[in-house]
Amino acid sequence: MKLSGSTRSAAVSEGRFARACLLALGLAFLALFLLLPLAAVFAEALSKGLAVYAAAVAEPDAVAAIRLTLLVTAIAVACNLVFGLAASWSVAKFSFPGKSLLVTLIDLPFSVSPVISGLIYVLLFGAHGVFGPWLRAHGVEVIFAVPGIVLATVFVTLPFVARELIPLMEAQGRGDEEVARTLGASGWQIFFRVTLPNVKWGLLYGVLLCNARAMGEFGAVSVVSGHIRGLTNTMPLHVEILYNEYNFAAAFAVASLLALLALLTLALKTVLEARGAGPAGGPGH
Amino acid sequence: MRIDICNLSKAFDSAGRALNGIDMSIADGELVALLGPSGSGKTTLLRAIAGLETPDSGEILFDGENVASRDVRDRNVGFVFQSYALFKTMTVQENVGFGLSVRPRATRPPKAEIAARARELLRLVQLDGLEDRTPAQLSGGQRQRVALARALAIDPGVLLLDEPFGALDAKVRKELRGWLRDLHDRTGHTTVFVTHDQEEALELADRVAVINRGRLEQIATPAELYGAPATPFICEFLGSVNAFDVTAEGGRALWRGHALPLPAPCPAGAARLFVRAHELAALRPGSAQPGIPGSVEGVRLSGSHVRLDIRAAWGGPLLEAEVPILDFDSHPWKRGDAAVAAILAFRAF
Repeated sequence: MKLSGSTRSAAVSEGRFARACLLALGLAFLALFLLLPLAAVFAEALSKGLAVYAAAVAEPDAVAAIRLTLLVTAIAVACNLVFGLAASWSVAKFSFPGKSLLVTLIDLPFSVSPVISGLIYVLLFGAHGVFGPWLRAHGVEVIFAVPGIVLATVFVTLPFVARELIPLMEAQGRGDEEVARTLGASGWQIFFRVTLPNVKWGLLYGVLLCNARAMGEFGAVSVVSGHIRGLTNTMPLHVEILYNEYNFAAAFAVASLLALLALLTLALKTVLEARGAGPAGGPGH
Repeated sequence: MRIDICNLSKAFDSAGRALNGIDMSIADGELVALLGPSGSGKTTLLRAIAGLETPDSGEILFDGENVASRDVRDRNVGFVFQSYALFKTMTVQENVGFGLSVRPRATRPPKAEIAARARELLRLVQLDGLEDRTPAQLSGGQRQRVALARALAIDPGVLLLDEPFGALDAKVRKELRGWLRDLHDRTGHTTVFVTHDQEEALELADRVAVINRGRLEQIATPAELYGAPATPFICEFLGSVNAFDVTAEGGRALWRGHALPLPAPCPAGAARLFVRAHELAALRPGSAQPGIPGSVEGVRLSGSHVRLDIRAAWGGPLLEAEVPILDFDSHPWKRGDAAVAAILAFRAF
């Protein structure tokens, strides 16, 4: 793009019209399917004024939904951070029987519909499920309670960190770790001082994606939640309930919060990618 | 530190290389090259010494002590990888100081001492002033020297280098070669390096171990290796060589139905004679010395000498003869010239 006008050869400038067309098509598509709905969310949320917006967001059920979403996201991201690191470390740095099976299984949550994921947990932990009666006898509620929502969210967001790290770690190979070992470093020292710094940008990227999905997950959570207002409603579920009650302004107000969180994630991701492209290395290097 | 390797074997590793009953000893302070074609197992042997590969059988002794049960981190080896494997998230100084900074608290020097030691080593490898750079900001040759300084920082009993000059361009390679020899002579570390470049091995090492298909063909000084190669493989691997498949008969060697004119009697039972390119003289027809009649089919300039491809009138593969450039300048050869290839020296197997 830096080269233009006279420095470009005639052969290249012939394609200028085609390029402009493609660019316009791309931008129009983007505006129609991404920017317009996003703008609509905010426009609708503020359609009855700021007061209604603030009331909808500050309403106790909404606050409970926001808190639950943040709690579930925190737990899910923490779980998948640990699992993703452990899984990608073992897949990329060691060879063991069942390795390809593990790699395939990591992708399972992506290939299964979230509704099915939720139903699996109902089958396992529901009142008539495999572990349900035993758990209930011991006073543990999973389905239609917070633990079920956490389980479903962890399951759905499981691949993000591992998927981001496995190719990165495989590309980096074992050389750095082997050198560190010859220099006398212990396993933990190697992990924290060599492996982790090498993948930190990729890891943050994976965590961000995982975070975005955990906050927005609807299908699986909807199945296991039970939709109890103020107790088991996450933000997406709360939006749905408000919408079904024709409370559009409130629904869009909460939705706009979710959208804002998504935009924040996107901004962070862009910053990370810019840093990763620098000399310190990062995603893809 | 003295290293003894006794009957070391390893079945095919993940890269398909194997080791087969390797026996060799490396004296304290010696600089030894492991030379072989790619896939010969030389890197596997180096990694086994470091403890990065586990042999199936055989022993490795450091100063007489079996190190089989010693983990890599307890072997005190300085290993320099072909790709250098510098820690890219650390500065040059942090890279060099890494080995000291991961020591158990009891034996770990204070931070200031680690930094001072790192700077001292960077001076030794002539990189002072670059302490705060990251590896990405260094040239290939500089990275190589940082990797070396990092390995030296733990005061290793042995320095192991995998293709130390493999990733560098020819000029830097040559410079670093002399520099490494000099560094070795000053620090006195027992050093083993892997290379596929015979010139590098012969020029740099005290002794060269030639490895082929997981076996040790010969370990000897460069002069012995070149002058008295123990196996046909070494003959063919070192320098350009002409091979004659012959039948020996009462001191004569029959090649393609003709008696080869040899400077010495052919030993009984010999089946293959090797003649280096510079041991095959290209003569004008009619000269007194007997040789193989033929004609020049190619003339190639190769630095200080000219290589002639000679097609023997008796058939067989092209013969290669080396002519010093000064002789060539006074009596040039050209394609199609009739020539007689006279064998000046040979080795029989």
